[in-house]
Amino acid sequence: MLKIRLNGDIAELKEGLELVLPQLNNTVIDDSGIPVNVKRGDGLLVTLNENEGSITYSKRAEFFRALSYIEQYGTSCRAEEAARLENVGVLLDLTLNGVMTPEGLARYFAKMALMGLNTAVIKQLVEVKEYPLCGYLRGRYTAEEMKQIDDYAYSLGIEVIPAMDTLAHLDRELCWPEMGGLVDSKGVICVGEENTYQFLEACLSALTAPYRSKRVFIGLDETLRIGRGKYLRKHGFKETAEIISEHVERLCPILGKLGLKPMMWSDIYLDKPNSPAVMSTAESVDIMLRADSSADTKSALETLKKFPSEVVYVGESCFKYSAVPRYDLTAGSAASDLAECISGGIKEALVLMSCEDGAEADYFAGLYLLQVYAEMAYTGKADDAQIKARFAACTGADAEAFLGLNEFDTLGGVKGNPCRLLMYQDPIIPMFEKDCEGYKFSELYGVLKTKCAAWRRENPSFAVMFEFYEKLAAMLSKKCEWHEAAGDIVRRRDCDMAKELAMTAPAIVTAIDELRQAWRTLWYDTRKAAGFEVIDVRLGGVKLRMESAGRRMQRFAEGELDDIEELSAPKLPYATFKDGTIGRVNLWRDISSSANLII
Amino acid sequence: MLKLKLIGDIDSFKPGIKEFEGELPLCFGDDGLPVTVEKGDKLSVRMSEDGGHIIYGEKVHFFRALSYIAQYGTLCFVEESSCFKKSGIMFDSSRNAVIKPETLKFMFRKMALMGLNMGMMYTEDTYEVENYPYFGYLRGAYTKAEIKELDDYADMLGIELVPCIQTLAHLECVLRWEAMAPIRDTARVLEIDNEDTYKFIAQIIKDASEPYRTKRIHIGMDEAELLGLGKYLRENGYVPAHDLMLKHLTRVNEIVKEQGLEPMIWSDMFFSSCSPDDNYYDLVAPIPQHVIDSVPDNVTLVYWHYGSVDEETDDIMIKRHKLFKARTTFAGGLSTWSGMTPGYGSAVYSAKIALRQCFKHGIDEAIATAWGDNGQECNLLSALYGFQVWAEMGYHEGIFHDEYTKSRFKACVGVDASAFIDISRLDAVDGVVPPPNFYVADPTKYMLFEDPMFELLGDDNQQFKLSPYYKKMTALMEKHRDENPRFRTMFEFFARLSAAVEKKCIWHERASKCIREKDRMTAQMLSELVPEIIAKLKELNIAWEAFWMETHKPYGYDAIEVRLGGVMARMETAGRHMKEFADGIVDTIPGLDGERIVYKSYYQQGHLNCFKFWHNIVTNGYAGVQETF
Repeated sequence: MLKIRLNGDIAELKEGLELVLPQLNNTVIDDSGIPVNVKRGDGLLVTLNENEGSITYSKRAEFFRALSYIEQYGTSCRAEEAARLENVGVLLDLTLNGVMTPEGLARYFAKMALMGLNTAVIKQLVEVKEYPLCGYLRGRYTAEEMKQIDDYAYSLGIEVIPAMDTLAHLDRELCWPEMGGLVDSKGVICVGEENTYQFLEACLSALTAPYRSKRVFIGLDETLRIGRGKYLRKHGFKETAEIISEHVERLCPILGKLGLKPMMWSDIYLDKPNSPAVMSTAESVDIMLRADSSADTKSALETLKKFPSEVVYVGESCFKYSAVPRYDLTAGSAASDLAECISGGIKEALVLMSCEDGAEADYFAGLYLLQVYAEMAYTGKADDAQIKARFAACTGADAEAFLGLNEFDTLGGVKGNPCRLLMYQDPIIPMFEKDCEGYKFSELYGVLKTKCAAWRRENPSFAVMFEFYEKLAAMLSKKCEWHEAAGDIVRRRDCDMAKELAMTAPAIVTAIDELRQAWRTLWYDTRKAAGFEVIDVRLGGVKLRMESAGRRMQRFAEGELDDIEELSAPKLPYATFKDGTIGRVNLWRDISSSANLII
Repeated sequence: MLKLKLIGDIDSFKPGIKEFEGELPLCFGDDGLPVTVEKGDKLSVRMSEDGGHIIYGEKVHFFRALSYIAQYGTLCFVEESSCFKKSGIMFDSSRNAVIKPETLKFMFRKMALMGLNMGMMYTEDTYEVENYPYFGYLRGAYTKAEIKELDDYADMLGIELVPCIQTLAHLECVLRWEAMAPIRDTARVLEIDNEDTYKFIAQIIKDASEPYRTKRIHIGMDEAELLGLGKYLRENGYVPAHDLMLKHLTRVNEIVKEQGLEPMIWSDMFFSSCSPDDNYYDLVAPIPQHVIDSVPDNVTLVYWHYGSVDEETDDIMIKRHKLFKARTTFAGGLSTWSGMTPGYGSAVYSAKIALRQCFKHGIDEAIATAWGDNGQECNLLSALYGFQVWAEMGYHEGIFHDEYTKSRFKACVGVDASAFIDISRLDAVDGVVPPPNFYVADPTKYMLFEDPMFELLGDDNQQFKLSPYYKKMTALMEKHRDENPRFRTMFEFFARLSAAVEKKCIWHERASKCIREKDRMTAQMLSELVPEIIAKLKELNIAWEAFWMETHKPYGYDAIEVRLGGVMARMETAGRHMKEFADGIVDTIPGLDGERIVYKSYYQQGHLNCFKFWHNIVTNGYAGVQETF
């Protein structure tokens, strides 16, 4: 155990240290430790040998990054860095069902600080006194909680920038009858109406008051439904970009009153860069460039140069609607995009951490991507070995284990999303039967289960998380055995095999429930309980279907039924890529059922 | 058992008569009472101890006549005609429940006895279509052979079976498949001006109508959300929805005419387009001549109104329809779309108003729709009494005679109407929901699915307790189950439903209260209640599955089973929290602590409300059903 004693300008670092030190495996603060002189200066410089050390930092986050170097190199520590980006961090979406508790966020911030990340834009649900239904029974933050979150972050040198959608994606707020008067179309508030701006002012005020930051992120991506309901009837057809510009113009006085500088998505600037309304809007906002695999970051950055706004790069989330961190799809492109940004003079970069359709991913599983951002920001390089070594120091965990989780989707050399498909595939109406032909997912997930068990043992600070993944692999392995056998057994009318298969159902049912319980434990570890009901319901649904599948298979085996129509029906491909490998279906409602769930 | 000897030109009735063997207290043979059967211009039945005389205006009258003889025997003396040339039922086989052919045949027999002569098969994607293998895929679609057999059966009973499809919107089950992407405007709407779309429509119209002998076909065209605002907008720029609908209707009508068919469409597009609020039931907005001229000559307009509450609306709406040259028919409803029970109160209330207005204005065709919104949790079989209500009003100038209708039901179905009406009392809670439960409150549904920790909808401060009521209803349903063997599976389902809701209500009556009051003993009781609730839910699943499988194809039950499994999982989680609270390990439970907001819905009727959608009941977060991310 390395003992150090910090001297110098450390008063302002005390609270942050309290959060960070418990996360370090190798380093403790002790009066008998090696003296380390701490001072403010230019850039980051950290040295430590057996006799003495020094830390110089220009921003508080750099101090904690320096600590991570000490954690990494011990008494042979020397690192000197000049950050290529002024602000680097995350855009956390906590409105998709998963609300992190203040304590959970504190742990997350501590990891961020060790990496040197200094910004967290957090989309969140908050209490709005005038509109008590907003975030009702969804785990929304009270003003006290928000202040607590801000204090945690501040102590670590992280600026929390609060965020909310101000136009679309307001489905859950606007679906209540008493909010009906605000609606343009489903999930979209009506631009140009007095009551709209009354509502938004109340929300923005409640959202931003507890935070120190003078910035706020107001969303404003272009969606299908903007201006297509009441607005269309009232004002006729207008281009989405124009409507959004009009909306921003109305929001500016409110934001001015609150003393806030807004940030918004880049959609309208890339869609209609020559529109006068859009150009005028750009005067008052910072632009968040949303990167994704379909967009060309370089040319987008080019286009955005014509606007006077600060441009913030936002890289894509590694979670694509599921708990599997897709580093294969995001880490490499993040590195090259960040290089592009740095050489292009962009000063701020964030990685999006969001998981739509149920918040099934725990954001801690995406920490490796944060490390990529941190290393690019401070060193300009994204060398694999370097990142892994840094990751070990900053998180206390093995990068291989985190990267290994990627395999839940890429096992067998595929690129789609078999993990989610197979988790929710109905046992009696298996829609992916054709797509899975030729794969032995039951075996592949069996192997992955063993790996997860090892990762769990080797990374005790993430034991709860790897336990979840282990149970996931176990469940998938067993469930896939059923899927691989059921259809053909019924088609062949093989009653003996049917009997055997029916007897495997209870074990699968148990595996599903064990997954559900491990998932709940993981969720409760860093999140409020609200929102987990959706996962409970989905897995409870699969579980009962599995029970019934066993029951019906038993009746078939005994000759009581001479067919199980849904199983024997020939299947067509559903999720197969053009190259023949298993493909993607994103949403639970499309994966879990051939039925109509919408109407 | 009365025996009849039918005399006259009865060959065409013989196959139908055979189907009723065992279902009517009548039998037939040469040693029976002589009854002559003759074609005439209305329905007439005269019986005496020496014999009888049946006159029928159309085939179905004969079967209605048989039901009268079954009812009154040799005292039978009836003369009547329907004010509707066509009156019948629309079967929704698109909301996940495809009604089994055997069950439809049963319903056709009952309809024939009731004198209903039309059935519409509402099939968005649940019929066989060539060249589009994903159309109806894994939905239990009817094969052409099945439909042909049903059409023959219906015809044998004097019932016209008519296909009812969609040719513009409400096609989400088809458009979800990648293979159909080329003709998709948005997730639910076909792309207009796209030749592939019209190729597709030509195919589905051909395949939809082929197995039916009728030339009539209902092609849908009710309001299409976001029409022209998806792919179409990107490719063509903005064109107002109503212009697009007209353009599309013209194209589709060409296809229909080419195939020698007679189209019917929902009429709302013409009225909404005239209203500044896009309101179909706008009673004052002027209808411009060009809109009137835009309706093709060969199209029949179907005026739909399911919730008639005053005479004025239907009166004026029918008058507005009469401004058009096209023929107007009427579609009302059986209130099968709100939870698990048929809303008899509201269905009768609205039908009384609407059908009387139809009679007054000479509308000669009326259909009762049976939409199964949100997964067909209400089985059409339970709405059978509604068929009788609809039928009898047609034979009585749109006037409802309560006792009379009940005695007719006894004759046609062999069961006390009160048994069926009692089903709706599961939702129209006695003494709480003001009759006629016009707003179709469905507490059975939302108390069943409400989350045990995040209670959005229930109000535990209400003065009445629901659990004792459901206990009473369980016993009532069991009584009906035992007394009506023909409907045993149905009443067993309602009994198990009621039993599950009873136990669940106990949780909701006590849970948050015991947290607020730190009542650890009640908490202990509640945590012990959880396994009982789960057991009752399992029993409900078995009974529901049996009822579903007896009357529907198997596809679609999974949606309901997932919902039931979901509640079970939530109970387990909530039970854990409650046990920890009971044991003093925690001092609160998330969701059950804190200030509650009593849900205020559109319906101002008082305590209980209507919450139709599962995904709005189980969470205030994202259930992942309706959102587009």
